[in-house]
Amino acid sequence: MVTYLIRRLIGLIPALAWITVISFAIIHLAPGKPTDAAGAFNPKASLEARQRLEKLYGLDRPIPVQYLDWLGRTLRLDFGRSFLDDRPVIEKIQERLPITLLINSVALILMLGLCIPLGVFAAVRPDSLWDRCTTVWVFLGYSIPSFWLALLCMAYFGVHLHWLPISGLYSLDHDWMGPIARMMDIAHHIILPIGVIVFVGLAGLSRYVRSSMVEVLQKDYIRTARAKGLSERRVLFHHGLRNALLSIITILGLSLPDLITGSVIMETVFSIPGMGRLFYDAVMARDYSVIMALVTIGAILTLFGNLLADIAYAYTDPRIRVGTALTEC
Amino acid sequence: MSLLRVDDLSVCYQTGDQKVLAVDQVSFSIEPGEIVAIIGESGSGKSSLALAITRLLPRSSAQICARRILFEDTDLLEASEASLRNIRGGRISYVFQDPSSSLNPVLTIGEQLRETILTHTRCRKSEADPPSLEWLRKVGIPQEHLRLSAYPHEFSGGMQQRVMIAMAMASRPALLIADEPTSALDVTVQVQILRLLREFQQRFGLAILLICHDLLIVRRLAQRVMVLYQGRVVETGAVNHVFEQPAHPYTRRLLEARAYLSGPLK
Amino acid sequence: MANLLKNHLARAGAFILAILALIATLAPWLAPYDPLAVNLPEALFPPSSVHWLGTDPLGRDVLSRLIYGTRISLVIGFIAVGVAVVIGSAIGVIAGFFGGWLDSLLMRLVDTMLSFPSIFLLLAIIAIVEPSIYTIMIVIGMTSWMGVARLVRAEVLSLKEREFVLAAKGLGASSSRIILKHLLPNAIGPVWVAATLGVGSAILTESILSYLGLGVQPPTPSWGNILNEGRIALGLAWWLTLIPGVCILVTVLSFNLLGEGLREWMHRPHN
Repeated sequence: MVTYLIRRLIGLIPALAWITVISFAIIHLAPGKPTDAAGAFNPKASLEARQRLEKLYGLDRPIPVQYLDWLGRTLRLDFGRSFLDDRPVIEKIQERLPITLLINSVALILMLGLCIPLGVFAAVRPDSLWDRCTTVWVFLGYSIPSFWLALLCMAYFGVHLHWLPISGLYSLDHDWMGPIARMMDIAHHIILPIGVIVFVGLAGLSRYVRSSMVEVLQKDYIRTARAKGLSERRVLFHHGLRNALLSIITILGLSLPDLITGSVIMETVFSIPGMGRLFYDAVMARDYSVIMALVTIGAILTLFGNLLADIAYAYTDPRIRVGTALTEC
Repeated sequence: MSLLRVDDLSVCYQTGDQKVLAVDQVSFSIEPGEIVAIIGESGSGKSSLALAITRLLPRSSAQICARRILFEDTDLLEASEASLRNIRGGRISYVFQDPSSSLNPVLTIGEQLRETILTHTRCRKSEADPPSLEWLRKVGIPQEHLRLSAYPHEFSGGMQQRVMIAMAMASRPALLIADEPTSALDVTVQVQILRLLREFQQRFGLAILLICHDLLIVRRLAQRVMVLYQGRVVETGAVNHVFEQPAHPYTRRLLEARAYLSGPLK
Repeated sequence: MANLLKNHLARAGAFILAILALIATLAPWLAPYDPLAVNLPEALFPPSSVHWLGTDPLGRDVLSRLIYGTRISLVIGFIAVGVAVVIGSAIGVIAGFFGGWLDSLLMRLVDTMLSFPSIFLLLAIIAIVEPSIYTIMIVIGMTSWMGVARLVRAEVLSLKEREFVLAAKGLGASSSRIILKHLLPNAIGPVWVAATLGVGSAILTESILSYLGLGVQPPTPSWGNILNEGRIALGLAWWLTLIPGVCILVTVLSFNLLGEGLREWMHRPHN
């Protein structure tokens, strides 16, 4: 297990190197200096701010030196200052991170809790009405523009029925509320975004549970479990699902970039002041230090998400966790 | 009275528009304590037959029909799902071909063994360990008390098959259906496993339905043999009789092929 | 091909796409109004016999804008996927054919690109280059070639050991000749499925970018920016929100159905 972990950590190094190269390359994509573009697109970027940006990126020096310098600062989590309000980028991120984490973890927990029964049910009765419904749902989930679904929900539940607030995270009187009322207020505001994320994400995930469950149910050890006279429920959940979960852990790790992408879209549509919205605002304002910081952090987060999934997988799968084989007979 | 009596059992697979008859009106019986072998090439319907007896074939794709499948006093064709579950793994146990894929990789040996005991004996959860250990000892697994918490992948193929046999025996079944129990194993291990099966047969009066394609094994172990060819029983009788005076051309071909391999090369 | 069309859903997808292609081609003749003609007195008119799908906040005819939007969406979808297929095939073939350190370097690049949340990469690039129809086609292509690269590499790895390639090598054919003549044409099969599904997701991406104001720039009509303009009148002018979204959904769905149908067809044993 420990050697496995070390091996996986070492395996991350080339990917991390590529991430920094790509991030660094993006800023150099622009014709001319990126600081020129900043000036052209963002009138708020004063001459002084531009000069500071130039200095930050050391644009007058040779590219390899620039890269190493930038890398060194990134490793120290020094992403410079936003030139919208001159605050350190890392501070702005820290401020926004909890909201995004809250929304995504609630959505993730809901998706996990729902995808298993939905997928298992479809797997046990292939071609049943339920199975067909989930197939349709999957195609819809893959094809529907999530921001449009969000707009429809806003128009219907917010504007038409007045059930739910359509934007922001706090009501106008939030500051005057008691602690419980504040929490309820936030919950009220995140129902719609979470609902949309779950609806779209669940489609693919439950289909994935279905297919890995169908695959597992054809294994020899399921036949053994049935031959032992176990109840169908025990066969499915004790013997089948445990194995199917292994591949679900992996797919969860891989779906992290989609979650982040979803955050950008949902937070923008619903005007929620999280990381996604921060990124969108930074893009609109061409606030490069924030953009670069978020791109790099997002990729690194994804990478560590995958690593976490691998570790969870290794922990769940005794074939990796218990790496010793006793071969005597 | 026979332990198991199967009359006109047919198994039919439905895949898409095609229907394939895997087992075609097979009838046979097994007496208590007897070893009956089924031989035949792969695809002759041996495994389908073995699974059909306790109706373990997937209901969505396989159709079973028979006049009756009488085991002890129950007609398995008409038995409820609950009484079938009591018989499966309780009175009729299975040992399958490939132990490495037949054991659940994410559950410990102990969990899988205890599960059988808990399902088929009146035994509390806390009391399941001693019989589990006892059976591991009986199938010849050394240091058995260390093995309950081990996972299947930590065992060699032969040890895995011993665990499968322990699981099958733990409920003291009357009939063990062994579907090619040794063909995934090394030759030296094969002998040990077969000896173990023989030992249990003699010690516990266990009847064994041995499915096999190795004529040597059949000759050493079984009392009676059925030859299955394209889903039909083409020949049946006492082992010595069938092997000395094969009546059906397919049986003769089987025996000739074996003789060619074991005799001097021409 | 006959089998492909037996699949009802795939056939429905192909049929809808054919109609959409027709609409895109004949846009100037089909559109009842000039999609760019601002007519403020008629702003936010609901659907009627004059404006079948109503008008937007600037009084422009929504139907005409949707028809021209079809053109934009399809063109962007196809060209973006074209770019992705070219980049992906090139990288896949090079990685698969030459192997060794070059292969692992390129495959790490693929893994890394996949670990970037796609929208981060897209938006970061768009923040630097000016968004226009052309730049977003290229940017979408540049951020979606990884699947194709993996597919092509896998195909090349298996083709590389086949007799006809070994024979060509034995006869002293140059690497570039083997790649262009023998490997690429044979490796491209599974790419068709990925490309079909890819057009759908490229259209989806374009609509997101345009909705966020970072894609096709107004006044050029695109389904995404019609939705963007409709957001101002959300709850007031349902037609501005509902109809463009349905267009996107139906188009992307059609590509996905066709792609899945293609996949099934290719996995048939006789193929």
